[in-house]
Amino acid sequence: MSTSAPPSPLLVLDAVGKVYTGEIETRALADVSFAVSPGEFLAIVGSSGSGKTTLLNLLGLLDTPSEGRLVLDGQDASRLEPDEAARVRRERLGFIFQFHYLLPEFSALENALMPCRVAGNDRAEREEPRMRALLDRVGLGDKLAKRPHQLSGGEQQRVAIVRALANDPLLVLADEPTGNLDSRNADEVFALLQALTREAGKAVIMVTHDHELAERADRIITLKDGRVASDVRSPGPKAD
Amino acid sequence: MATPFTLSVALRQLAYNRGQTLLTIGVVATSVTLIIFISSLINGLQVRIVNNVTDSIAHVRIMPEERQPQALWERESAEGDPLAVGRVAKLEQRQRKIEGWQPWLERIRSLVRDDLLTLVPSTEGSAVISRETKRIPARLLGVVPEDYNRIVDIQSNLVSGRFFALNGGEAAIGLRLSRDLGVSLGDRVRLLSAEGNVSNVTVAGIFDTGFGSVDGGAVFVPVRDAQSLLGIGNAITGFGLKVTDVFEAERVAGELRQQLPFRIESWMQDNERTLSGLRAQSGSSQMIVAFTTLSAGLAIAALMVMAVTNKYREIGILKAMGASSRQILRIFTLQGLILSLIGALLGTLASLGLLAWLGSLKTISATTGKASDLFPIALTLGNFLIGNGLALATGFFASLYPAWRASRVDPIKVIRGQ
Repeated sequence: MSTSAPPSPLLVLDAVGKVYTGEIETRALADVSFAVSPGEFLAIVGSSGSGKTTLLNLLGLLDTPSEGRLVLDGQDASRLEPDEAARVRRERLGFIFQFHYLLPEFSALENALMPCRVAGNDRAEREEPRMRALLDRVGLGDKLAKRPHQLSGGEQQRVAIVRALANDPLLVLADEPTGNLDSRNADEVFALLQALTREAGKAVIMVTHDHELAERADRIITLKDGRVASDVRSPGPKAD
Repeated sequence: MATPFTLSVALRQLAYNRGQTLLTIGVVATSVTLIIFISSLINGLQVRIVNNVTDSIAHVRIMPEERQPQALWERESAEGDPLAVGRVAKLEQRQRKIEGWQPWLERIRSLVRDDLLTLVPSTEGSAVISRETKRIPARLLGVVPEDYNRIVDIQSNLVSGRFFALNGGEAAIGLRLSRDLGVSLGDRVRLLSAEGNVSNVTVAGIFDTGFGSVDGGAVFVPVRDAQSLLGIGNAITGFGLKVTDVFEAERVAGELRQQLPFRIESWMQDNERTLSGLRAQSGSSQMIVAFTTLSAGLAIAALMVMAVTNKYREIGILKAMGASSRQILRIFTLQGLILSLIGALLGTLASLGLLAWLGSLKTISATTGKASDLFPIALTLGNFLIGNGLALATGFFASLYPAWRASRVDPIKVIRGQ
């Protein structure tokens, strides 16, 4: 269903579907196919119940599709064992959620480094200068040692954005990244997300119900009843 | 098993949730205190009870075999049987003695060896001690005071006079007996043995050991005097020995029974009821330890389940970042171990303090005016190891369930707040 086929896609979804089995069978996704190129900023929109969250869970390897294939960086990641999925998340993916979910026991810098700490301590030491620079870049250079509760909502979400880039992922998944912020902060945080990922050349898939925000992405996929209703390139600043 | 990541998260969470951490440490510390304290106290009580019994007696007594009356028809008839119908077998009840006993002394010493604390020959019999019109039945003990003192400590419990270097014609008696008789140091008393021999002796020592049977009914005289009162010449009536571990007395007695032609009794046979009481007490002490451990374990588990439930979102985000279930499991089992380690340490210190304080309390005896410990405390390394070992094991096992729950957290379910 993709409008264009880049030479080497970062992520390919091929007829992906998801059915929740339980007391009643619920189909959440059906025949979803698209490809994402490196560096692409993709927004997925849709009303609630359209399957956005399900799709994001599949993309984040937090859940497995019932049908179809999901190929990440040339590797079939459709049905990985939990530990293998965790490894791929650790090495290839970055997450930003609606709520920052910073660990309250750790400072801003430590939180930003957490994915590296999960992966092993050497990595955390190696990445620390880069994380300091990134935090400085988002205006938190003087708040590295602050705990999350000492930061404002916008500041917390900026730490979360930097954290999503800690392990140098191929793909950043953002779930309503500004949904919990007022419009001024939302604007700033989104701009930072876009700028940082663009500078680092990372692909981003953002799920949102905010059409205004989605308009600022390179491409918008609209889901309806678990199917791709439209897939359009937005006339945004970075349109090809 | 601890990586910098799991350890740092475990420690930070403990430091951050101070209230819950202190509560859990408190539970562990209280249990460890209780376990060490209760076992030391019960141990101490047992030691005191056992000492009360064993300090005043020989642990193993060796006596001549008692002759069993035997009916004629029970005897296997043999040729030249001296017994003939109509003759009555004479049973010499009175003259139970061991002649030529010195070789036996060496034999016993070599048999008991490492278990032996002290071995003394004894010359004992019944006698009536009297002064004017007062006559009191007593146990007559012919002793070498310096040797016998290792069986019952008379010397250091002397109220007046002496025990060591007791001369012929002198006797040492208990304070109670002296009061009952109305005699004091230097008075003369009359001893009439069951064999009918009489001797007048001077009271040269009065002691107060605190053991009723010794203070109220024992008369110590030199061996020779006892031998002549009992009419046994140079013979003795038995041996008494103390062993290094009082609870090994029955085993030692059993071994001696195989090797010696004597009747051998241990204090454990004579005090079976006391011992079964002690066993019941040990059992109840173990029950207390078991239930304390169980309730501590449940409390730790409950507190940690609460902590894990409060952390679902953070656990979810860690898993989304790629933390494995095993890493999450480690974080919480590490917390269990750390909490119980600190708790055990504090509990040990608290129990030491408590025991030191209780050990310093004294009680004054109403009868003798002597100060003694109010609580007998017997603190053993074993109690410590058991208390601390149980705490660590409990902390670890109690954390397994909460940790398992944490490791099973599904990021999808918690991150969206569903």
